[in-house]
Amino acid sequence: MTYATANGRREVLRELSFEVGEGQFVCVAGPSGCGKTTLLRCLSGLLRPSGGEIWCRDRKVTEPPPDMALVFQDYSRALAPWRTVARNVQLGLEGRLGRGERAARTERALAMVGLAGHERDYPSHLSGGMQQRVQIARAIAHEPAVLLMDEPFASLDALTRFKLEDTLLDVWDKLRQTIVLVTHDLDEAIYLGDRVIILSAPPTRIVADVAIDLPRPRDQLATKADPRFTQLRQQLFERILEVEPAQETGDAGD
Amino acid sequence: MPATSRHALPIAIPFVLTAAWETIARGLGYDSFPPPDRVLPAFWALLRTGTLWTNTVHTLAVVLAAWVLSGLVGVATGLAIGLVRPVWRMSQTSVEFLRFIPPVALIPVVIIIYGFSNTTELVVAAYAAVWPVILNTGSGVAQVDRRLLEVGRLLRLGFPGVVRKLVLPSALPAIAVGLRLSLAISLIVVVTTEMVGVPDGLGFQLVSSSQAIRYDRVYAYVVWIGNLGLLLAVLALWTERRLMPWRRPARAEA
Repeated sequence: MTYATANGRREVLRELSFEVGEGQFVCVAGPSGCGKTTLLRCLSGLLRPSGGEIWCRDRKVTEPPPDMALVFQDYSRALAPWRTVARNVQLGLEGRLGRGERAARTERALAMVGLAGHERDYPSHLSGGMQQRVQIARAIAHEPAVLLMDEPFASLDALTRFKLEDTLLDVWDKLRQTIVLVTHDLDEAIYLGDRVIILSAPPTRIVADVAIDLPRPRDQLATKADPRFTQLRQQLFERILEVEPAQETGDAGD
Repeated sequence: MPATSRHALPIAIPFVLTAAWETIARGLGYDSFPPPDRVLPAFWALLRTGTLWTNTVHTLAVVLAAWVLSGLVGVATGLAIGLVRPVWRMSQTSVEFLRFIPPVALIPVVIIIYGFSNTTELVVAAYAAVWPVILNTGSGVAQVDRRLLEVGRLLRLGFPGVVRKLVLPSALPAIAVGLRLSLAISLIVVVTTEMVGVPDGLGFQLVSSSQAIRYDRVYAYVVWIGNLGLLLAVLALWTERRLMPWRRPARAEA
């Protein structure tokens, strides 16, 4: 993946090749500016890679595929402020499903993220964490086979982040969709994923691809107190430090 | 501020101004500047004979027609300008030229085409009122959050869906500002056209009263037109609030 910029072409992603199994929860982590967001935008079909291909369930991705959903970090920009919570969730279902099916899916999705009873609220009247729950509900209301998440919890405070991580694990436990979650938070990656992929600084390549063998269901206290968690954390952290360039590059890729 | 004083003061000020008018006009004693206690009887007389009512209906009907016409044309044009970059670039020079032509300068030309008719009033007023709608719609549409447009692509809403479900509602606050300006301009230009060209409605009555040296009536019409403007502005604001409930602060729930 190469970008044309004012200073000529800038290569962001190089020889990045990986496969995600159906129903797998993969977390992608790496130093800031390493192209995590670019990767996700390519995977979602929003951005056409300058080289290479993306395949999703036997189909080449050139446009956003119907069985994929993406959750952005900036929930307040990704929600329509003039639509109520329920109508935001239904945004992509209108005209595709009957009224009854639409209402049923909305209700299920909102219940799953813990927002039952907030159907008629406007996003601006909700807290950040609740707005992000709305975005997750919108994604799962589509019943996507693949859920992409771009640093979904990065703008939330620590406690809210933990609660949403657990909500996401609950949702995944019930629906078992494939999840690719990008984060800069190593603890979050290890806590959530079946597998953690570590990216290098640009031109980005994969420097580690580690299976997370922590038992499920996971628990914010017990899992993070597990010696194996600390061990994985240390192992992955060392890999990141190895690839971190000596001086700060200063350009933000996300 | 408590609710009562918040509303009381803006309403009290016109009464204070009227009192000041009374004092100054009496002190000066000019025929051309009668005090309110001579204007009010003239107003009642016009109301009783039905002259005021007939002419108000005529003028308001043209104002509303011009406003609706400029609204439809303005939103459609603004949408094209805001959505399609080349249209914006190509139209900029022409828009800046056309919108600075004084509507009054058009009156003789339009009279040649449509005669002393309602159509002339309508065309001149709609011409004058269309610009704020075009410009506000254009900038509102151009400023739609890019993230929201990406959401539209991911949900595969299609171009018409994106415009209808995301772009127009996003631009609605800006469009409302344009429509409010255009309503005021419609009233001003319709009255002006009636004063200098088309012998009908409130503007013509105003000029006739002046020619008949009935200054009490002139002021009665001037104050009445001002009140019509106030009424239209209040109605527009009220409608705007009803149409955009998400811009209101959340209802406090005990």
